[in-house]
Amino acid sequence: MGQRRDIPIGIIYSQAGAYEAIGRTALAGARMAIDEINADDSLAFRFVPHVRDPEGQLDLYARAAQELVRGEGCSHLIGTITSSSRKEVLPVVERAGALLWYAFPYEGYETSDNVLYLGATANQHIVPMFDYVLPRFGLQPYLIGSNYIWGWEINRIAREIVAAAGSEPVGESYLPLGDTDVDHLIAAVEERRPDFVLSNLIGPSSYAFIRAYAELGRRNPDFAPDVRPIVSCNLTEADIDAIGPDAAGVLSTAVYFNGVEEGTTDSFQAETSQYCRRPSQCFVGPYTAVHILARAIALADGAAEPDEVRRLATQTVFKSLYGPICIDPKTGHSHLRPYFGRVGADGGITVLHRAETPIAPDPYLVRHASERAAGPAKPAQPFHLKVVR
Amino acid sequence: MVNALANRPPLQLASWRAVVLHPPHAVADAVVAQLERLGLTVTCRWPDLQADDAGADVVIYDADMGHDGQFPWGPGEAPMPLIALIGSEAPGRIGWALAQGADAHLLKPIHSSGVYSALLIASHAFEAKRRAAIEILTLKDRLTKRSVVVRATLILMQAEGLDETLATKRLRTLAMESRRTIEDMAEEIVLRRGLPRSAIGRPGRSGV
Repeated sequence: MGQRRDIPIGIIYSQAGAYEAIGRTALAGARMAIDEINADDSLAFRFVPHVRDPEGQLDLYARAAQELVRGEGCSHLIGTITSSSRKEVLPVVERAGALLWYAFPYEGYETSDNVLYLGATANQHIVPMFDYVLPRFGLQPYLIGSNYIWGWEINRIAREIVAAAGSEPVGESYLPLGDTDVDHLIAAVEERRPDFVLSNLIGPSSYAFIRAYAELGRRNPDFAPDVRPIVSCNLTEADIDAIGPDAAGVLSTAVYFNGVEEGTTDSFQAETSQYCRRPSQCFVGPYTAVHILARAIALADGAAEPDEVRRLATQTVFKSLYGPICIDPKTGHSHLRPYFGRVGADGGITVLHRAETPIAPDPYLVRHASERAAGPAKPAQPFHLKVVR
Repeated sequence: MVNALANRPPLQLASWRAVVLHPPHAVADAVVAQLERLGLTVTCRWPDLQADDAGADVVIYDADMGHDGQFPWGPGEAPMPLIALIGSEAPGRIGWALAQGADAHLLKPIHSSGVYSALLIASHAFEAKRRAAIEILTLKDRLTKRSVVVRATLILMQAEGLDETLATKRLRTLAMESRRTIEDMAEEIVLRRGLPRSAIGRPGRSGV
């Protein structure tokens, strides 16, 4: 094979700020995939990464995207974690006709011809998680969240699901981003005695709450994790490593848990150790996005033109660490089989359940609403225990 | 009513004062620039409106980061047209924007087109809402006075020996002649427990 063609790709993940731990993991995942692609001599191209760090500051994202698209000639951007930062990048990629590869779970209510959404949307995280949790723990959650769109919207959807089941939450509270003063939350939860706590807190607020709740459980057995657990749609191995043993007993959902890889050898774990402590959804999401981008470009005979790449990416089933992925051509969102698991004392996540078939994306929850209206949810699936590390 | 509104003269935008309630951001800058091109005088606020903003002709407010308590009036009670600036289309956010009483909306990012039509639509919707509220008040008032009309009719039937149809006609004629509503005329008859002095000895055109 002759000279390999260089294709510039842009990466935007914050390496500082309220969610820097996730941003660092995400960048590491993208870098590992790029290294693998560049080491693959069968490919006619190489990726040249251009990395921008908006430091968690919303007003720096649009400029970073602009530099990558205009300055560096990137027609594909891998990046953004929060919805607010994605909304900053969206107008830039739409104007430039570029493609943003968004690899994180989010609340939904968006589609764009210039974005591919590889993470779960609401009908693939909060909805199946509540289908699992409500029959087992009860219909009266306490809803908490960080004070921004993710927490607001996931809690709103939770309220709707609970109301459809004829109940209501016993409380709902928000913490400013980064706030770690959780005593009043713990006091409120102890007083209201919910069946479980849905936490949409992120970063240091989440860590502080989970530690304080573990302390409450030790003091008052009524709040032990097997009695009144914390459940979360955004707790990953990266967070567990930051929290320590107090995370034990938290229930979480993700499209990937460390150790569930399909069709790989031990070498994957060995290789990832060069990039991060242990891979999580935050690592594997961007990693998968870069690989799908590379495979779509290979299918296009090495052409990186965004419309053509999008067309090929949405009509192909790709292998991934968490099973086959296909991206819906209409909405640009992925069909996914979410896992549901419990954090163990050693920080590993035990898989309790996995959706039996891929769940089609429903970013505006329109099918979900009509399915709920049509009748009660199916009875819960039995436990499928599978220990993964 | 709606057609009558649609045909009224164009807005005197050059005399308008707009308040933009949005965190400092390119979106706020773009809205201000577009409003200024349209001749409006613009003030930016964040996080809260101030008391004298109640005198503004239009308020354009952020639906993404907005929260209760930013406005010096209750939800749905704004004294001017409101335009919501929507980024996230999550239903929770749209629901909040609606609860404030949005008369129109603009989607982020802001383009050179859209602001002018949003001003017109918001102004039209606000005026239609205001007129409908006045009409509902009037109708509610009339509804509460229905019992007064019945009592006045009974008084006329007894005082003048009329049947119900003729007494109703008589009441309507009296109201018309004194250029008042039937309800107001009825109220006076009930208060006086009889015909007003001006109407005594002056039979109506109903032939009584």
